[in-house]
Amino acid sequence: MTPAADTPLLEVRGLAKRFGNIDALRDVSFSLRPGSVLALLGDNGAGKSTLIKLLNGLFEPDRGEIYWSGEQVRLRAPKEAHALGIATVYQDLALVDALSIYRNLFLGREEHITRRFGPISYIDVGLARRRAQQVVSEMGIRIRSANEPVASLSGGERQSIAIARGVLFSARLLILDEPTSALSLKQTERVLETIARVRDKGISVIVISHNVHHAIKVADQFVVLSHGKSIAAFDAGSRSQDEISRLIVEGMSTLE
Amino acid sequence: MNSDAPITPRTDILPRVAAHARRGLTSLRGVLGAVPEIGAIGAALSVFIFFAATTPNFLTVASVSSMLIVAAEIGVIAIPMTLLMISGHFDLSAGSVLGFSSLLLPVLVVNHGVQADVALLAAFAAALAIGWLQGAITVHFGLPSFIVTLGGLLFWRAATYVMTGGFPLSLPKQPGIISAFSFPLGRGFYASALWFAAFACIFSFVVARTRFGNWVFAAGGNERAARSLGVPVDRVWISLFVLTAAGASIAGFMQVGRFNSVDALRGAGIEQQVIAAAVIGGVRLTGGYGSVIGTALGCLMFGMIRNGLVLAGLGSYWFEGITGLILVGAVIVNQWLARGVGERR
Repeated sequence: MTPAADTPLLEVRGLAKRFGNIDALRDVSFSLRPGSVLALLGDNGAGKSTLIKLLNGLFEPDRGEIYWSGEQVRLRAPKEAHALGIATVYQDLALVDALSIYRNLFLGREEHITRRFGPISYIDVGLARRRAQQVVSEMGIRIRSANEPVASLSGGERQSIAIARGVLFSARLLILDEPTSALSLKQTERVLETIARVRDKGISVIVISHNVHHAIKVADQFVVLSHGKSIAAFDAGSRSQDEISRLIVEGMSTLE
Repeated sequence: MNSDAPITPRTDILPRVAAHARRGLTSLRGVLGAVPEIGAIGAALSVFIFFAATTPNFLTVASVSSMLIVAAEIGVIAIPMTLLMISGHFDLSAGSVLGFSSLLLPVLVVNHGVQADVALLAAFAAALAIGWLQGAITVHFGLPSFIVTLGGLLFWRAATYVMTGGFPLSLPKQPGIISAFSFPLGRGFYASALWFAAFACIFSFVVARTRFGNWVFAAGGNERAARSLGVPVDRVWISLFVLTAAGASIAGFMQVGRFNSVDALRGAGIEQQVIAAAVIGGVRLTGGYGSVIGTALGCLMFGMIRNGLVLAGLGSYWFEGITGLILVGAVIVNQWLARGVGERR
């Protein structure tokens, strides 16, 4: 291993977060190698969604540290997470149905596809479609036309487009919240392929899931959460699918 | 077994034909559903054909020009309202804002001796301020715009009555900015038609080709996604409330220019026609969908109905009845088409 590859892209130590009387997170530690896919597994209520919100700047942790490429950082707002290159894709919440694929891809970042004519700045449709087509085909996503409204896409296609948007804006870490939970088998395969493509581009991915079966197909690293604690962290291949499932379901009791 | 052979394919054919037919229908529906203006095109065409076939003098220059007067005065409100509705809100106060700002103009000129152009700019500024205020209240307190603008409808109408005690005021005809909204173009046409056309072109361009247009759809279609991508949703909403109020005030100036007098009931109920035109044009009350061209067609259709009924010698009460029927019919068609698009998901 080269020294550079030794420094984790993201490392968290002892993260904790309380909401009123509820300990949403009690003690979470793990590290993510650059260019790898980390599956964050856990049953409902294990603290997965709270952890995402700490990592994308929606909440600040009560205790614990976050290190980015070896340096300690504070993520006080979503903007600060964006600035580091952390992008989050929420399941089925990311796209605007009435807008075309290209308008969705560049939503909020229209400066990449606009031109100026005197005081008027307008979207150059030709440029936008070319750039969108290029982005999605690099990701191995097949679309009929970048002009098609996303309302007519399948769930898997929508998820892939949302992932492509995360990649488009030079994310270094993509956090995917339950990317396959609402998809058919075939569409799940496609989305897992897209995730593998993202990793091949050198972008790290955290996949939040409670489906071991899907996670095991694409993840290089695993972290299991239970009752707000990270109870296990290991590399792909070191545990069987059954062992991982048991960890998730039985939580702490398995280790004790 | 052999005797079964000719029968089996026959029993197979019927469901297959049915499936083909269904797919054909679905794809036609899908194609039509991809054109959000289709309901408005259908409604406008039917109305046009009906009056052209049954009403003498419908296809004359005079008829077209009076149709355009009606369409333009609804249209300059309905077009910005379309963007507001796409963004997930609407404005019931448009008629009252129209009344308030157009009565404020002669009140300032006649009762307070303000110079006409200054008074017009002040009335316009008052409308913008009302739009801003209602938008800011909606956004800041997170209230439904239905409530806030229903309050606005009542309040600004009352304020309009209070200004003159309910009496009409006439504005002496004079040159100035006011003529920009209503100068005659000849043969019965007025400048208001040009404003209507300009609104349709500019707002279509904004919706289809600008960053702001993206934001309007995103605010109404998926507010959470829009916010997470850094779209300034609140600013989009407030500016659309301001634009709609601006449209209402411009429609008011068109009427002032046309009648040279204003009464306290001016604009009452126009918001119903405006919202109906937008909905017939394909706007969804839940936000996220709509078309400026569809709305413009909806306004033209209103112009045709109003004018056609007059030419046919029917009372104007027919207007609201027919409008109501077309409104519900168009929404049924629009929804059926939208389901066609949804089925392909």
